[in-house]
Amino acid sequence: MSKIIVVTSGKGGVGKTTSTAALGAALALEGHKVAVVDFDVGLRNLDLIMGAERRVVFDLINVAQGDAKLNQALIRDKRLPNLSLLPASQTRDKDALTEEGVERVIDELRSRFDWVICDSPAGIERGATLAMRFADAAVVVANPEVSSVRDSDRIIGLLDAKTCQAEKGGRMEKHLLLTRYDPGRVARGEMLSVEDVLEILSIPLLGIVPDNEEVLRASNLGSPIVLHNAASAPARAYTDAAQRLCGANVPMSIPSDQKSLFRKLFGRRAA
Amino acid sequence: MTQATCRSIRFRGRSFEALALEPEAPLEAWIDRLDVYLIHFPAFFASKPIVIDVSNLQLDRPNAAELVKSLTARGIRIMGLAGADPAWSSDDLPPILPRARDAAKAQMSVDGAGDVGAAARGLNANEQAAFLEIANALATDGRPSPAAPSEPPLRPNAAAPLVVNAPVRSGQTIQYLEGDVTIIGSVASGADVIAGGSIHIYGALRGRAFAGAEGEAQARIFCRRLEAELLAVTGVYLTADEIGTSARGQPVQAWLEQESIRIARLD
Repeated sequence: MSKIIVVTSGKGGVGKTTSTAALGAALALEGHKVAVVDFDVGLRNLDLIMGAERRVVFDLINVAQGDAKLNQALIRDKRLPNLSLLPASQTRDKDALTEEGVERVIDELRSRFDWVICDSPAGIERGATLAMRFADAAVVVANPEVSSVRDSDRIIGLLDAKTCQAEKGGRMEKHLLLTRYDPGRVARGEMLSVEDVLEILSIPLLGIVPDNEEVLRASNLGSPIVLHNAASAPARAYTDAAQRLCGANVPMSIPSDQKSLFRKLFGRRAA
Repeated sequence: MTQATCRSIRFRGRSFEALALEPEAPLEAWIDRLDVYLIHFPAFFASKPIVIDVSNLQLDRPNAAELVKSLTARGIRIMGLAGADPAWSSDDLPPILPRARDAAKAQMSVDGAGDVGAAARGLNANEQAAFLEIANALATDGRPSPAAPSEPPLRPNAAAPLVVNAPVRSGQTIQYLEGDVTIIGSVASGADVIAGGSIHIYGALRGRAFAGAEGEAQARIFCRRLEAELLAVTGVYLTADEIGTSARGQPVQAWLEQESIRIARLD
C-alpha cells in the first residue's frame, strides 16, 4: 500500500527541501522503497541536497510530457539503493506542468514505490497546488514564527479545498513538522512555543526539529541529515518523525534549553 | 390515521422564483429585438427557469403555440405559460400557470372540508387520508394550515444560522448574509467572517469579523478569545490597534452603541 506525501509550507525557506530529503532517507533506511520528487520547477534544489546534481539527465517535466520514461529520469541514490530522486527541470517554469501529466507520473510512482514524497515549491500557485493535488497526506513544515505559521494556515485551508481527496469529500491527513526550533529563543519569547503553534494550526504534530548548524553542513555536502550525522539532534528528530509517519508511537520530546545553557556556561568558563 | 401502513409519494405546492419574459405586440418586431439581444448575450436564457407571460398579448391558441415554437428554436426552454387561457392546456404547450389571483381563488375552491369529503368519497381509508393531505397542501400552498393559530415571527427575515464545524484558515472567507454565523473552532489571522446577523466563535478570533453586514445594528460578535485584526458591526469598525489591551486574549462580546463599537468581557 503506497502513500503519496506532499511536503508543503506556503512560505519559502522554512525547510521543505531539507525535510523531504531527510524524511525520504529516513524511510529508506527503515527498508521502504522511497521516491522523492522535486516539484519546484525552475528553482530545483532537491538534487543538490541529495547530492545527485551531477547525474540529472531527464526530469519531471520530461516524464510528465511523455518525452522520457520514468525509469530514465529516476536517479537512484548511491548510498541507499531503495531511495530514488525524480528531479525538477531548471530550465522550464511551473506552467509546463499539467494536471494530467502530474497525475500520470504520480500514478506510475505509486505503483512502484512504498512512499512518494513530493517537495512542494513555496507559494500557493500552480506548482504548489499541483504538488498537493494527488497527495494522500501532507507534511506541513513551519518555523515557530508568526509569518510562517500564518502561511501554513493558508496552506492547510488549500489542502482541505483544492486536493483530489478533499474534492472527493475525504479529509486530507495532515501532519505538522516544526523546524528550526530554537529552545533558547523560545524561552526568551523571541519565537512561538510549540503550544502556540499547535493552538493556531490545530493539526497533529509529527515532529520538532531543532535549529542546528549540522543541517546546513549536511545540505552543503549534498547528504540528507539522517545519513550525514545520524546521531545529531535533527537527524534523530527526522528519524522519529519518519517512524510516526509509518504509524509507530514514538514519544515526542520538546527540545529544551539545557544543552545550549550548558554550552554557554562552558564557553564562558573556557574563555 | 395513526397507523399508516403504506406511504404515498410526497408533493406540495410551493413558490419558486422564475424569470418572466413578456413578449410585446407586434410579435415579429419583438422577436427581432430578442434576436439582437441573443447575439450580444447568447447564454443569457440558458439553464434559467423561464416563464412566458402572454397576458399583455391578444393571442389565440395557434399563435401561442407558434410563439412557444419560435422561442424554443432559439434555445429558450420554457417551464410555463402565464396569462394564457387555461382551456388551451395541451401537450404541445408548456403548462399553463394560474395567475396569483386565480391561484387564490383556486385555493378557496378546495378549502372547504365538505368539498374534499365529497371528492374523497368512494376511496379506502388510506387513500382518503392521502387525498385530504394533498388537498390541504394545495389549499394552503404548502404553508401550515391557516386554521392553526399562527404566531407572528419574531424576526421576519430570520434564517437558519450557518454553523461551521472547522477552523477558518488564513485566506478563507465565510460569508453568510442571511443570518448568524457560528464557528466551532478558531478564525485565523488573514481570514474573514462576514454575517448578516451575529457572529459566534467558539475559539480564538485572530482574523476579521463583520457582523450585521447588511445593516442589522443589533448584530453582535462573540468569541472565546479576542486576537482580532478587525471587528466591524454594520460597517462601523475597530482595528487591532484600537482594541484596548484589556480585552486582548479575553472572551468578549462586541456590539454597536451610539455609532461606535463597544467591547466587554463575557464572564
